[in-house]
Amino acid sequence: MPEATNKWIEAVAKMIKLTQSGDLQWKVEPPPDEAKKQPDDRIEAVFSTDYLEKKLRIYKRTFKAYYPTVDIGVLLRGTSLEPYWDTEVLLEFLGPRNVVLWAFPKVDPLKDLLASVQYQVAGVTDFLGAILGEDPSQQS
Amino acid sequence: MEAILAFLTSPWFTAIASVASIVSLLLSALVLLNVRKIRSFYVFTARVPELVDRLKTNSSELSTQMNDFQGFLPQIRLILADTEVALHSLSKKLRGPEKRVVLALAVRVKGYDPKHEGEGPLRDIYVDMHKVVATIEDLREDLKWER
Repeated sequence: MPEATNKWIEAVAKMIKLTQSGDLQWKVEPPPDEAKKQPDDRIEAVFSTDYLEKKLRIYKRTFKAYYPTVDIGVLLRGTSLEPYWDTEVLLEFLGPRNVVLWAFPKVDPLKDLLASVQYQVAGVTDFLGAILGEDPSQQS
Repeated sequence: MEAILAFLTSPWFTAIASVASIVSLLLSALVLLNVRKIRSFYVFTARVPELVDRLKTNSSELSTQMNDFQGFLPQIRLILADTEVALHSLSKKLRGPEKRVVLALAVRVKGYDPKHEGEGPLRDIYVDMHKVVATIEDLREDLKWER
């Protein structure tokens, strides 16, 4: 079993738990330009928090990737690369002036952490509580 | 004709024939083993990615539902039932330590009662689902280099 991967999975799972329990509070920020690694990159929103004296940032990056295509034309022209859109979730440790000090290894639970952060920031729990707590028969 | 009969019934020819029979039996066993290995490789390649994706989807849904554990109890039960089926199916395509890990998780998922045990064990199951996914993906990478 990949022990190093397991350690990152456990760490991210703990952050999900802290986020869902409200012990880790995130705030939304506009996407900074330096987060874009390529001109075509798309980043909708960035979420940041402070935990154990560290500033953390999480966001989803949509980027253009390429895969090689094989057809008869390729044999005549040489290699051909077909573009497609891919996504990745990045969790980064930030230093002074939001310099990226380190990025978390890419493990699957990062997507779930981002979803939990968005759930918290959007206030879905309060919304569901309010909308499901309403009794339409009592409305005038 | 007698010479041929004498040759075929001679002790040294009988000995060679016996050795050849044993060798062909061993070769048949070797071919059978290889055919089984190739078959399990193709079953693994064809079915395991789909099962791993199912585990990933289920774990993501569990994570979402842990935002409101009590509110999503019925959905959590349904996802765990599907997860147990996927884990059993996955275990049949694996061998050795990976199979044991997957089976152990299937047993835990089956034995878990969200209503009485609460949220804590579900978070452990969530982590273990991701560990299983990471282990299988590691195994898939290794298999690419074996072929």
